[in-house]
Amino acid sequence: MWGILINSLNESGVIKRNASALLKANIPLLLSILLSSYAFGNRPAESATVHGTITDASTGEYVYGANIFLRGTTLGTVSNIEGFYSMPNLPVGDFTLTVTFIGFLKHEENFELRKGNSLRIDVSLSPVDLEGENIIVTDELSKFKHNINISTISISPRQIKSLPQMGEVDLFRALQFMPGVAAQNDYSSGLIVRGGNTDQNLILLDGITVYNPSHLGGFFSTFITEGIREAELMKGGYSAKYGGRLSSVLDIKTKDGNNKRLAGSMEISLVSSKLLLEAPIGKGGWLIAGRRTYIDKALDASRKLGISEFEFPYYFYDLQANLYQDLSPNDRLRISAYYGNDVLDWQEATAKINWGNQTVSTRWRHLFSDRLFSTFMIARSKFSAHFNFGGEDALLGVDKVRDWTAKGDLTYFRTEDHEISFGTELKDLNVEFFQSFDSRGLIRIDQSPNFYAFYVNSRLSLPGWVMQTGLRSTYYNESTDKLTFAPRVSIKKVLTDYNALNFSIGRYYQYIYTFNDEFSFQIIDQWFAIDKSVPNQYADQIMFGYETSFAGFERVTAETYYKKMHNLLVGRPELATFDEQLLNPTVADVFEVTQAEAFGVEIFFEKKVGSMNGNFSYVHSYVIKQITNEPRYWANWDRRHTLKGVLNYHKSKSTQFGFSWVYTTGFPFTQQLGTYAFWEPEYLRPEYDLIPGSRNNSRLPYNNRIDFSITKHKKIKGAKVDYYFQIINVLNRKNLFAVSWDIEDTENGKVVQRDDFRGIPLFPTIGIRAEF
Amino acid sequence: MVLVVLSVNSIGLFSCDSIIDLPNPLQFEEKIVLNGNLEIGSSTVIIRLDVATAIEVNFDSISTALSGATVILKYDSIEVVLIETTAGLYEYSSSKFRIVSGKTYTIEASDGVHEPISATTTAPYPIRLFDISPEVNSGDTLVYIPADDTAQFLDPYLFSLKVMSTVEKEFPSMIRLVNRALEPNRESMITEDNELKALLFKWHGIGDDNDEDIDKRIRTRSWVIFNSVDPDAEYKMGWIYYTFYGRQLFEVYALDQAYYNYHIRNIEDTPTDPNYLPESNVNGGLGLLYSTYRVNITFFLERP
Repeated sequence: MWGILINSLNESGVIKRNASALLKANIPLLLSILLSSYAFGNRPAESATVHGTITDASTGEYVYGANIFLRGTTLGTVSNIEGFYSMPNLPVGDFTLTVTFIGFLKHEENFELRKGNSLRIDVSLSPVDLEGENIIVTDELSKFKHNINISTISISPRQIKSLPQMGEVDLFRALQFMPGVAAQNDYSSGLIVRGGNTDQNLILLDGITVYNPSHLGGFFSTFITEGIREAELMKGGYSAKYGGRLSSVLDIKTKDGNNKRLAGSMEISLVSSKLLLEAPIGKGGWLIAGRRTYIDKALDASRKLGISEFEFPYYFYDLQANLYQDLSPNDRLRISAYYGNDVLDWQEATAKINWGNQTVSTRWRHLFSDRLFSTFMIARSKFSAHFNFGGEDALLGVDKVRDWTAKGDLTYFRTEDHEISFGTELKDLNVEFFQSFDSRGLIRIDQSPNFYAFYVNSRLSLPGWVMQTGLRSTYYNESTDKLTFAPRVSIKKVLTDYNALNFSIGRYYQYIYTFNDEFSFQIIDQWFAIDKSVPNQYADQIMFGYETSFAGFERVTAETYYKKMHNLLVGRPELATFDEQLLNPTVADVFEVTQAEAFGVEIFFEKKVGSMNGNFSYVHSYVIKQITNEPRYWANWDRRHTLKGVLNYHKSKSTQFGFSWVYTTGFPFTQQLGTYAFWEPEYLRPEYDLIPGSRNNSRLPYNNRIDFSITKHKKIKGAKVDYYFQIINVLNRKNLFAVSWDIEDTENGKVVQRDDFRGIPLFPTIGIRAEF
Repeated sequence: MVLVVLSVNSIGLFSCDSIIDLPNPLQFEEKIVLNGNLEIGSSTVIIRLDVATAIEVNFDSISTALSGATVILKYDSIEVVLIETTAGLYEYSSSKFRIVSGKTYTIEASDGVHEPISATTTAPYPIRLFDISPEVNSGDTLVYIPADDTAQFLDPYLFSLKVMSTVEKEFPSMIRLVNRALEPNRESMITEDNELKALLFKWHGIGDDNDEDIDKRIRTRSWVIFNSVDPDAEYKMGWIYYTFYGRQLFEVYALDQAYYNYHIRNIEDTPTDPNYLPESNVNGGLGLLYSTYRVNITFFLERP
């Protein structure tokens, strides 16, 4: 039914016409919605404003998403990512300000508002133990009524750490347990969000784009979990504030630094050691965190002791540092930096590989008035990879992306239920890709595009409704279609308390992409920018969902989505070995244009508090692709059914059990149909080539993985110490994720044999971490 | 109401698998496989015909051979019939016949059972080797230079060379350099290289190898190949080309466009992309008809 509808829409050009209409005729409509929303929410002239920031009393960190409301009224709002809130146009009188947030004690404060008052109330919330026996009752209604959270997942370091992990706590792997987020395989931390390629996710670290957020060929992500304050994954329908990617946004906010006391944490696992320190300084705080793996050192030691001859001089490290100062109650200046590298320096094997990210940013948070909040940022992000194999005269490669970004985001709180955000982003990019063999250039790509984006976004809360409308316009200098408009609308209909319907529709553009398509495995993402030889990449997304809470689950959602992705790029197979010299080729010389569509339904149950907490989800989804002039096929990450569950059980204050489970339909693969003989000029006997069947028309068996962990909590001299033991793939199931083919000699002649690539077998790990 | 809408939507999605309009899956077809290399200057054409084998069937070069087919060679409005000499092998030979550069040759074959096939190749122009340094001539003896701790892929090398077309602006579509060890056996194995480098780049380690390892090395490392499309390249015949001492046959092939098209997706000679058939010039069938010009040097590789 759904397929017939989509096909008929496609065939009749309805989707195309609608998209076109969105861009042309409906832009005035959208603007009129934006402007007409201004007419709502006016209050009498006798009004006043309450504003302030919400912070964590133990660390001084901002609290994002706190519920702020005036008790006994319907007036309320939610703190933004910088902990700021503003409720303008309030009536005068005596009120009680109530602030609640999950994991913190409720805060209440009485105050009197007089005509024309602008009252600043900064609130520090005291944290409480979420996992204890006592269920914390929080009033999340204000957030529920003011925010549209369609397709959005928030994840905290506490949730990440509660999951059984492959030797290392990892944000991306934690996200892979969420509905609509798939992994390529056990060995990859890459995120496939609702059928989109891994390069369709905008990964922001404090607002800075990170281009290659993984280590060890994608096994670990680059982020130090302990340094993260909050991570929010928007799987679609994200606001006009964000742009430049087709599928999702992962907005990671790191801690500013503790401004109350010297604090820290450390962890020793089988893979790495980590240390984080934070402390107050002046009128602010600082934070420094580092991590280094020691596989190389362990192997060195084992060689010296004569236990093993194996050598693999590989390691990676990350360093993260933040420093901030409150210049005034209305101004905060923050400088943050990240530096991470993977290093393989194996001289004897003539292999030298080094790749990593560097980011540095200066961010100024300024309150122009009690209604106008702003942040401005200048940032530099750089990814570079150098590899050399076979000596300096053999295979040499360089891959670099350098990104200078300047952006400003302003939010005007017109009334307590209407805010208008607007901002701009300027990006200056430089992409360099070079490979040579025997000092002979094989491929060279140098690109220096830049783009300029402007957005406006309105969020209006009316009784029973929340409406978010936005428009993002981007000027990209290297495209034939330089100026693009991306309208976005999200609507929430609140049926009753904690019952709502959500709807979202929007268009999203992308101008840079990686060589990592579904067929070409790469250790690192090689980024390129589109040029005039190919059309802009864009996606149209539509979502419909229902959210509620029942039976102890604070959040239960059911969402359907449809995403049509246009002009994706896939590497031309004939260039896979770069056998021609390609010096400054166009994008069309190297890539073919692909269309794709993804749709599905996701059902999600989440319980965040209590001695037993976790989540459970089911996803039924489809991903179809089509390379120009070729038949349609199931994309590699097409998964028909996916069941996921995460359960944390706090048996006592000192003992915690964790389970995670993923069951997913088998991955598609191309079944080979037959073989035929082939003779090279110098061959004395035939070799054999394979005859492939329809692309991805067969499916591997289902994957099923259960992980388990047990953590013992202790207090030693005031420090919280955790000892953990974890087992990945408790069932030791041999999950298949890919196949290759080989021709073997047997007593009865030759036979084609399928070689299977399997996921991680049963893998136990231990570790210790401490917080002080 | 909400649940009803979601349920209907979900049922609709569940039924998509059978409704989504994907093309019917390809099925195996038993096609004729033609393989032939027309060597410039030769007075003989040898064509091998096989039939493709279904994936689940065991096979060998005898079981796949196609006998009893009619095979015709066409060139310059002339048609000659090839004679089956052994099962699957068809030959035409004449003292008046020579395969000539720039000329187009077509092979047609049919057996009355399978779809008839045809393939065409245009012979490339001859090449010659120049700037060979140090000079190497057929019959020379070269002393092997083992890979030490500092060795790179192409350093140390025994000699270097360049390739040019004998006809201006007619550089062939592809160049194939092949070094073939003519006496590969356990005793002639090169064992003086750095062990790690030998393990990584000559595929099978040195020292504790069992018979199976040695057999595999003989099978897979008796000849080493490098392909190129660059007319300006200087080729260094480094340590990586040699796995056995003794007599070596160094060949450089000039290959035609059909060969290049077939290999462009698969230049290293192993099936790398399981989604694509190589681009064959055999209409109605599989395989490849191509033409080559060959230059060779025979030398003796001596243990240092």
